[in-house]
Amino acid sequence: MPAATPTRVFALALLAWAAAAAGAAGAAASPADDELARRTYANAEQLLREGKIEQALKDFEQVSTAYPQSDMADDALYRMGSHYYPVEGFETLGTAGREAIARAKEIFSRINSRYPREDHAPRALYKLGLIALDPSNPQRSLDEAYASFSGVVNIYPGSDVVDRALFGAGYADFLAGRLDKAITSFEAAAERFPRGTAAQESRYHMGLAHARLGSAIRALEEFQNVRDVDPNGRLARRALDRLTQVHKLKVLPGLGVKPLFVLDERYAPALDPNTVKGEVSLAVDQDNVLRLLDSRTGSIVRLARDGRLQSTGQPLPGAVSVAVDPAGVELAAAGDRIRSGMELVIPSRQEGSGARPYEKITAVARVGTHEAALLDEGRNEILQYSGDPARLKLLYRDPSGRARLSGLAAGAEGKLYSIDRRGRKILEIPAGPAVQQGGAVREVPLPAEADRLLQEPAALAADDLGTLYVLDRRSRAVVVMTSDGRMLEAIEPKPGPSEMGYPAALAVGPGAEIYVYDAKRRTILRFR
Amino acid sequence: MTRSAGRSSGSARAPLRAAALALAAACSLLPAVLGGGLPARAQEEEDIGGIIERYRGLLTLANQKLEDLDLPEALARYTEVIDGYKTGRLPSGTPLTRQIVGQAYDGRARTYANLGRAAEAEADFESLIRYDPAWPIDRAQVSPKIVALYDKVRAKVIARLAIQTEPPGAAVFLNGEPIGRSPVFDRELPAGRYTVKVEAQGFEPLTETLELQGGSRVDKALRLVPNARSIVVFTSPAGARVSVDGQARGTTFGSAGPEHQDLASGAGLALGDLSAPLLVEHLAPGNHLLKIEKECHEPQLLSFGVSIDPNDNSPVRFEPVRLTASLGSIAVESLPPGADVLVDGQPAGKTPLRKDGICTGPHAVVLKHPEAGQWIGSLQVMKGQRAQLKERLRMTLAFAGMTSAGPAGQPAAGETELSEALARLKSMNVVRPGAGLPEAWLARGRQTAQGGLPAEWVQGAAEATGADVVLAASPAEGGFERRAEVLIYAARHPGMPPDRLLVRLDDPAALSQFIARLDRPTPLTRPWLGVRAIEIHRAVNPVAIRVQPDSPAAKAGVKLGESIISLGGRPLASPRDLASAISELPEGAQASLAVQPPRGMPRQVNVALGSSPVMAAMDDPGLLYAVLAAEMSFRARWEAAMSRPASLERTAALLNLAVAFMHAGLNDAALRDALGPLTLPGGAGISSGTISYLRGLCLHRLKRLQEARQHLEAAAGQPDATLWSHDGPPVAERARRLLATL
Repeated sequence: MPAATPTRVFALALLAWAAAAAGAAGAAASPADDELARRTYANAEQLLREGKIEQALKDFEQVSTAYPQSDMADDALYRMGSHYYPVEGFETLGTAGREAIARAKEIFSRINSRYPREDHAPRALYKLGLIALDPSNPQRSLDEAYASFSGVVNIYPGSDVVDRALFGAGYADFLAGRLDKAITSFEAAAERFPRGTAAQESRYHMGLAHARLGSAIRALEEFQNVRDVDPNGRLARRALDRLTQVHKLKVLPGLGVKPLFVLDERYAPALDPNTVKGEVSLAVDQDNVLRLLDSRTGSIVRLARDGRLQSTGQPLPGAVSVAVDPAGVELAAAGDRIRSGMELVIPSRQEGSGARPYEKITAVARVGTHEAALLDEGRNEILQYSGDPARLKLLYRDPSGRARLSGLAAGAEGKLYSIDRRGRKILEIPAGPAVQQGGAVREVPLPAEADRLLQEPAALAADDLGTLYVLDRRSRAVVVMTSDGRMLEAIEPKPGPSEMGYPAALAVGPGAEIYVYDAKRRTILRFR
Repeated sequence: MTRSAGRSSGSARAPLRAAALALAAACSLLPAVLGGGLPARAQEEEDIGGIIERYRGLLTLANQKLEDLDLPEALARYTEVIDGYKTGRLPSGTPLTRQIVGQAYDGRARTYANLGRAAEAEADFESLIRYDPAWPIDRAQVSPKIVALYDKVRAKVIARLAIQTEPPGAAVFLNGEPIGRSPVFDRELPAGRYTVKVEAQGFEPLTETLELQGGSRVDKALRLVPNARSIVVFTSPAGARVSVDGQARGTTFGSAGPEHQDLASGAGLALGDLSAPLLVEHLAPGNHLLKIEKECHEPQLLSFGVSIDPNDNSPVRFEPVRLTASLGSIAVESLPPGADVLVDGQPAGKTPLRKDGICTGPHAVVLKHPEAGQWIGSLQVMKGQRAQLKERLRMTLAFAGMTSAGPAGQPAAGETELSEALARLKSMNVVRPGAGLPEAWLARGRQTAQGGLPAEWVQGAAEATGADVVLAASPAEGGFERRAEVLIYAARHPGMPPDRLLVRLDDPAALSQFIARLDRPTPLTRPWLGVRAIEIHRAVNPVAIRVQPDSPAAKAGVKLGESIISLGGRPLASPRDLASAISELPEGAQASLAVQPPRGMPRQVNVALGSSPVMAAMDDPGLLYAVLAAEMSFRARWEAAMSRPASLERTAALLNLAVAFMHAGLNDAALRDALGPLTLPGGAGISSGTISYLRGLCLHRLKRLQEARQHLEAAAGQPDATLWSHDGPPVAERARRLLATL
């Protein structure tokens, strides 16, 4: 018999708790109490409608404390909890504040311990799953999230959130890298609730999981399922990007098809060449919205997938690098500070008895969902920021002290890649706590053509299929290779519209679109 | 005098005692006579009761005085009572007053007689006899002298009447009061004038006035004049229904007696072939229409006239009506064959069946196969023709009605709508299971619906009707709509929980949708090309990413990575277009397929579409799994009965049966009844790997892990085996994931 994993132990404990709590359900309230509770609840609702939030919350609290046995007690608690934590689905994770999360967690836990048989118990447990998964939660725990979601599925199989809970359980496993297990949950959500709200997310994530497991055909089938079920839905376009990406990078090379990438001549970014004056950094989100950061102004220009100008962000003076997470939250680095979404952070390190800021953070990359990796070029260190600016975790430091790290990209399984410009090497830093000052870091083997093509690697990008994209300024080429050193293709300068004059920045879209900023022509080229 | 008085006294005392008893009896009737009633009427009746009581007291006093030989006082009291009667102060018409008045006349007559006032005594006796001709004078107790006086008066006052009619048996009325049927013998009546009325069916009524003299005897003979006539009908053969002017008048029966030998001979019939005569009475003069019908014979319609013969109005005898046999034949086939044929409930053989000598007209026909369902319908047989019936046997739905009773003898709410809607089902026979749900369950109403129908009842109903599906419903609570909660049972699979769904009864569209849902057979196969395609940026056609080995696409040379440009001439822009193009072609169809390799030239190939089994999802909340189990079990048996045990349809039906069982947690049943009889070759698509995976899954759920491992490992070793259809996801990966949990 296999040993119980922490997740399983947690799930078993949840089941035992639910059984005990169900047995200890309280006595019914008197009709008079019920009536008073109902009136107080209605009053609180009215106050909410009038915008008197504080008073409303007090009334809800009153219902739950003064009439704990009434029918309305769990409703009032749920309303309170949902006020603090309104997140209902996975796409809005990360939008709540830390204090609100802590408060909501306490309230939802109260529902589940006191009213495990009431209507809101499954939803409260589901919310606890979301909270455990929420990147804004300092106590984020994928195991706890999995346990809560599987608790909903096992304890409340008839509840209306079971499909989302199944997806949540899969998503927690997916983020934790337990991909086989994740697929089982996604499959259940998609097959048991084919028309449920979580079915399409499950199919899409099944595709992602299969892709990461190297089952390219299965991944393609699942992405196509997303489009077959709802060709105009929210995920249909993302699925098309992924279909294109997996097909291009995993199927076509096996068929010997070349070229994989050609210039997208129809792509015409709405970029005024005269407005970009400084160094440029590029990033693309999973909806194929491109971010262009101009270091001179520190502002981020957002271009839609067809090149249209979508918006311009608030400038961050001194910003030199931009990244974007799957939820579209932008991250920018500006020497001594970073900005994550709307939050400006000045990371510091403990040195002697005082805290000292970092001074040369020149690159950022997303790790996991909401965590960030930072490159401090001054100290040649790669650090992980997880929400606390005073406690950055050291992921890598060049043991020789001679390296000149440049650029940072996050790839499959949370691996980070950076260029050692001095040694013309690409380093792979694995994710997880095992990383100790370069101990597990490896040098990515370079293909034979690299000698010729990688003379001055200046930027790199990576995708979640294990593909690396390296831009070389001197050879004016982009090398596309696998992280185990297999050359897929090189986009080399050829006379004509695809010729890059002075490629300066690189980003890769979800459909394996390569965006290159050509500083000479002051435009962006897209290769698909 | 003393003696006389003594006798008189004695004679007076005994009848008075009897009278007192009679009065007491009558008094006991008084409350019944007075009855209850409204308060005002009760008061009035109380007053009447008081008056009668007062006169009864007077009469008792008079009787006492007569007994005490205080004759003047007796005379005065009797007279007071009689005056009360004459003036109307004493209410008449009740049994009690009738007793009081009769006794008063009787007593006063005897008082007069004792006083020697014979004329007055005679007058009182006459009044008494006219008042009540049947008054019982007590001959044993009253003195012979007084009896003689009474008899003398009675002989003078009473007349006797006798009435005879031709024909006899007529109803006789005297002064409007019925007195019986003729003949009437010596009815005693007080002398006077009487109106006699005589009535008999088929005759004119007759009225006469008679003057009856006291002491006379009148014999009256009356001849009735006919106003209708009867007819006598004979048929050959007997047993024909006879109606005149649309009104049933009887059925001929038996056989004619020897007295009708001439009639039979004249008609060229053997006497035994002629029915006994059927008398059709009292037909009015004029023209009539006679209709004679008998099953399996052509009906006869005759027009005839009726006239009255005052001299001899005896029934008119018709010539025998000879009925001609009307027969056809039937040819009955069923799919599958071997079904028992019942015509009008009687066994007629097995399909295929040809049978002659079937009566013309509509017949209820049931084709019933022990395994493969039944067909319930009707067949019209025409004379001399062969009626053809060729039907595919189908499932049967037994509608058990509503789970609560309707108001007094009425159907329960919603029953009529549901019943009418179910009658529109085309893919199933719809029957009612005998007496419906037991009263005790009906009384429980919604509780019955919530708890479901007892399994033994469902089984019983299914066995009695041959039903595959049993449906019951209860009115649903809440809302403003009229809804029913419908319960559907897979009758042959008692372990399957019933499907429960809400159906709106007040919305014809919703009802039609519900019926369509039941009526739509689950697809078991679909056309199959064997290629999975995707869409990608920049590609204008779907791109093949999986070509199933040995599939039609593989045989046609389609390769991974090729773009599929068109199928059957239809251009394809997406995988959905491809799926749609495939679905529009029949299974086995030949079609041209245009493909293009990456960076290569397009080419055209020919494909012959194959068939893929189709499995239902295992946990789709929108599916009716009890219906699915019933349908799949039926279709698997149907295919077997068609001698196609290895057909794709049977394979798919058993797979879907397994799905239904597994959905309900009946993993044992899935292994035994669905997957057990299923064998498939190895290879791509739905194949032995699929069966291994499903068996492994069932065993895993049953915690028989060692056996589960064995099957799952077998499934994991079949990389091309799929689930749901030939194009479905591979089972190997699922098997491997499940194995990892062991």
